[in-house]
Amino acid sequence: MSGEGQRGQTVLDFAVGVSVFLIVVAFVLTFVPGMVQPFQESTQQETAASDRLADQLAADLLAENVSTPYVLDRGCVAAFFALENSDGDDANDADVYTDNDGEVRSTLFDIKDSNLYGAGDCTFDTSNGVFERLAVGGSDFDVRVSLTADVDDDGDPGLLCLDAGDSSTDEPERGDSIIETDDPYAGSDGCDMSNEHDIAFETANEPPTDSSSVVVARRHVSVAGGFEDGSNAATLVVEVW
Amino acid sequence: MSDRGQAFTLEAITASLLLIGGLVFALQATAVTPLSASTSSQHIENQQQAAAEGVLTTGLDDGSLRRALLYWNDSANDGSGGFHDAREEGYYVDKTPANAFGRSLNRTFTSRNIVVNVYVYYEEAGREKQQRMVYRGEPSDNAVSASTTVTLYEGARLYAEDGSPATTTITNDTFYAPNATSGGSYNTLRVELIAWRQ
Repeated sequence: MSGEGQRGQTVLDFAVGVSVFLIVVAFVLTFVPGMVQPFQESTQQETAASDRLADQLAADLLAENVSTPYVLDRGCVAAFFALENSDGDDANDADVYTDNDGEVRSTLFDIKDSNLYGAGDCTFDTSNGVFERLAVGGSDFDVRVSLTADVDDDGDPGLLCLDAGDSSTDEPERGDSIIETDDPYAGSDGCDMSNEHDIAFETANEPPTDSSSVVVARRHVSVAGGFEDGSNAATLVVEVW
Repeated sequence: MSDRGQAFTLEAITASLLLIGGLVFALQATAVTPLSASTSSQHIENQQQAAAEGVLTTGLDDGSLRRALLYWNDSANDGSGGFHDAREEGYYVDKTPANAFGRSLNRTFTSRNIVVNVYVYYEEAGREKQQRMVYRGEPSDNAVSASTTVTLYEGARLYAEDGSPATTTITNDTFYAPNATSGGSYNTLRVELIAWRQ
């Protein structure tokens, strides 16, 4: 007892000291990973890319004139989204997308014979594929570009589509009317990409349904020449994942 | 060991302070934005900024912005004037104007829970004066703005409530902006659009 009697409260003191220290160590260890997490799992790359692509499309690639950004040229928009043109190869009738396989017939029209645009009208090179035009060809993210507006006035903006005509041989022309469609492959509302040469204004690869990793950028644009109902305002949507 | 008294608790507290001090230092050294949940996001602000520019640029291009500026009822509010169908202040506080520019604002912003203020700045006696077109309150800290200029010429006509041109031409008496030049131009208006998430 005499040896212990000189030690004061050491046993209690030791217990308190060690537990305080251990609690703090545990707190720090759990807190630090949470601090770094937003940087590790962020969609920084996609965010920057979606913003760049939307700006590039609205102000340069599809713009009628570089001095009037957000005003899109009708012919260039159609030429940009035309399936036949998506791989940049005039001779190849297939398109570059995989998500619409089986829905589009194999013989597409020849875009180089159409009057959609003149030589040098569009700032992108039609001998490049869609993803090369957007300069995302070699990157590891995927892109969908679409142009939407509420043309049928149902309060719900839908995909726009250049209606080339009801015959399967009608080729798209600059003056063809632009309509709104719910499903460009169904053909129920005038736009039929399965049997006609209509051009829906979207690139066909679908974003994953798990939407947490899809970054969206929007631009308010107008299309020169207007739509079926006389309006001309549309929303350009760029999704990157 | 035998004569150390209360040393253990003191040491533990010192060590804890060091650890927490290190953590606080690390917190201060990193950007806070991705950690804090808020309506502020650089990406969203970029999108709003670009949308605001798009609305103004396309409005300027198709003439709907000019028509919205001239969408003025000179006899409203006992002759002091106001935008058509606006509240007695002369500007819109609970809706956007019932013309193409207003619909464009609706589609781009209001339908996506973003509110906008639209200010029109004009020149009066060498100074810049402000006329509100849409005022939805004080913008938040994360608001974005875009602006463009529209030149009005002498002889320009106001627009009636249904959007058709009226017979009234713009003069010092019938329009909010006075004739600021002696030449053929009337006044140069600067339209500023401020958008933020509510």
